[in-house]
Amino acid sequence: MKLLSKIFAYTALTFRESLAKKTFVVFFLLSTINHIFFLLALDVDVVDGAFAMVQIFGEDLRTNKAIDLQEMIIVVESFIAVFFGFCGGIFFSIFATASLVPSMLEKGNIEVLISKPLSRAQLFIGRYLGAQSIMVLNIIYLIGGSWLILSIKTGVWYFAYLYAIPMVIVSFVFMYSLMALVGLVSRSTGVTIMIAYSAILFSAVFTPNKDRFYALLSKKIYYFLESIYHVLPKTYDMGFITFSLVGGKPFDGWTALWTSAIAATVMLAVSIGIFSKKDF
Amino acid sequence: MLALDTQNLTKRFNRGKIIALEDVTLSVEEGIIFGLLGPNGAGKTTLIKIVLGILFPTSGSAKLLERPINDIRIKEKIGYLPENHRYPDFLKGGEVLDYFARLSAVGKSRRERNKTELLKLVNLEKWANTRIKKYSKGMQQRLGLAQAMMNDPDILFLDEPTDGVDPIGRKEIREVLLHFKEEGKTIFLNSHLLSEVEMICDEVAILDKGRLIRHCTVKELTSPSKTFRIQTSKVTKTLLAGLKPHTIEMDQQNSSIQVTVASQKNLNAIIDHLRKNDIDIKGVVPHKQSLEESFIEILKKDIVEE
Ligand SMILES: Nc1ncnc2c1ncn2[C@@H]1O[C@H](COP(=O)(O)OP(=O)(O)O)[C@@H](O)[C@H]1O
Ligand SMILES: [Mg+2]
Repeated sequence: MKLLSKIFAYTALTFRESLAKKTFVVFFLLSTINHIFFLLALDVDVVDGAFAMVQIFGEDLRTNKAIDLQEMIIVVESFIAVFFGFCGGIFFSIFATASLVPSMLEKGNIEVLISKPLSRAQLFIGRYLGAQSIMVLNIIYLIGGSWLILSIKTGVWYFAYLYAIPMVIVSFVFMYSLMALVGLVSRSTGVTIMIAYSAILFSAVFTPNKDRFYALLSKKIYYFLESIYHVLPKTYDMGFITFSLVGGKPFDGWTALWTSAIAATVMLAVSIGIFSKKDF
Repeated sequence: MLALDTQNLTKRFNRGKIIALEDVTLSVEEGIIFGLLGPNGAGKTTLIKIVLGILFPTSGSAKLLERPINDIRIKEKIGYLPENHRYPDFLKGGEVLDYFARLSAVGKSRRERNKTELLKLVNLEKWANTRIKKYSKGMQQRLGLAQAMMNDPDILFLDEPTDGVDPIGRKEIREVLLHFKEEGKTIFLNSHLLSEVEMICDEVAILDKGRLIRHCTVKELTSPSKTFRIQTSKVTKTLLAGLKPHTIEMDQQNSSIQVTVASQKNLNAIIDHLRKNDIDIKGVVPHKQSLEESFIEILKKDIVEE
């Protein structure tokens, strides 16, 4: 109990830091802008138009049209879930949390932290959880809020959309293992952001084009890229699973999720190992 | 009980090229104010950081309150004011005390109580709700001191506690420290300001280039030596020559003679000799060596011996 309260004390301080640095507020505002956008954009064309049509024709037609409408909404919502929820959510979460590990390590600050009765592993995990709590709250607001607006506007309460929430959270937890390691080694927010985006770019370019790379590149280089693919978070695959879950489509299974989970756990363990041996 | 005990502590940086600490064996009794002295770069900060687990020793070991330093539970009994500390500057003074005490698992009611008490002690009551961004260096230093005491520690480690603090602030800090000592607690402080250390420390150790070259009480370093200043009326050269056999060292400035003697008998002989020659003796003052003078002397000797 005492131990948890110490770790959570650092999580709370981390949360306080993101409030002070305005990253939390800006994330929140951008999500709100996103909501307002849906509120306005959806109003005119898609929904009202479709419903107007439904209401003009007779009973039979109305049931048929309603089915079409539902399908259309599912397609639209799965795109929204991936582009705004998944991509947008991860995009902003990276900015909102990239500075946290480097700022923990700042001279004059880290010395006091280490002098407290917490092991270095506990400190690192407290920081990690702090970053995740900032992300989780914002993701719930971003995706949950847009779901509410879409549902109220269309009258269709499509619950599969909400799969995007755990999927984005888990994907970002994986991504943050990489970011925490880079932040620890480089002590630089800029470098952390650059590496995070490079990893996403790599995932987005390599994953859907594996066959082409295999055909084009020498085996050595291909397997080198393949191993990088397994070390880094598999963001593209996670996005694809999200799209499939929300759209109710079949997908290749959960391999990407659990292999990413293993890679992220190893990476976190490596970070804690490095942090525990470092001189400050 | 020993508050601190180090065995052959050695720390090298840059693959052994920089020796920050070399074979330091030092023990500090509980209940005293201990001053670690030494010029800049002597290794004082390195020693404290090793003891608190911020740096890892290249070799050697250390104990705090007779427990090995890698046992993190002992840190519940430790307070630390680092050199050049930087608390998150978006926090208010009161928040700094609160958040950092939570890291030491200090319960809410005790936190509130200590916060009020310590803010008063370091004279920052009016500043509790101001962001520390706006604090002066001296205020930050006092807040750091309060932070270090929030968990009711048994040992306080202070790295240059009066750095950047004006003379009045320094006096206030000294009072806080003496108050802390009265409760039977131990203070370990690093300083290159000797006059300060002289005023409050019971024991001192001197580090130079990573080596411990002296560990003794402040009294031993500043005890009255066998040097006296004798204020007289005019003394002639021949008369002075007559004093020579009784002294180890002698120096004359205007109307005073400074003599270093082997014993009281020699001093008496000198005074008798002067009186016999009708010299007025206006005063005899034992010359107390300041810590600074001893310090410089010890460091000089250290260089010569090398
Ligand atoms: N992280 C480090 N890397 C390399 N050298 C260091 C490091 N920290 C301290 N030193 C060196 O170790 C020596 C002792 O430093 P320090 O303990 O800070 O001295 P003091 O506190 O007595 O002024 C200095 O020569 C300093 O340059
Ligand atoms: Mg120092």
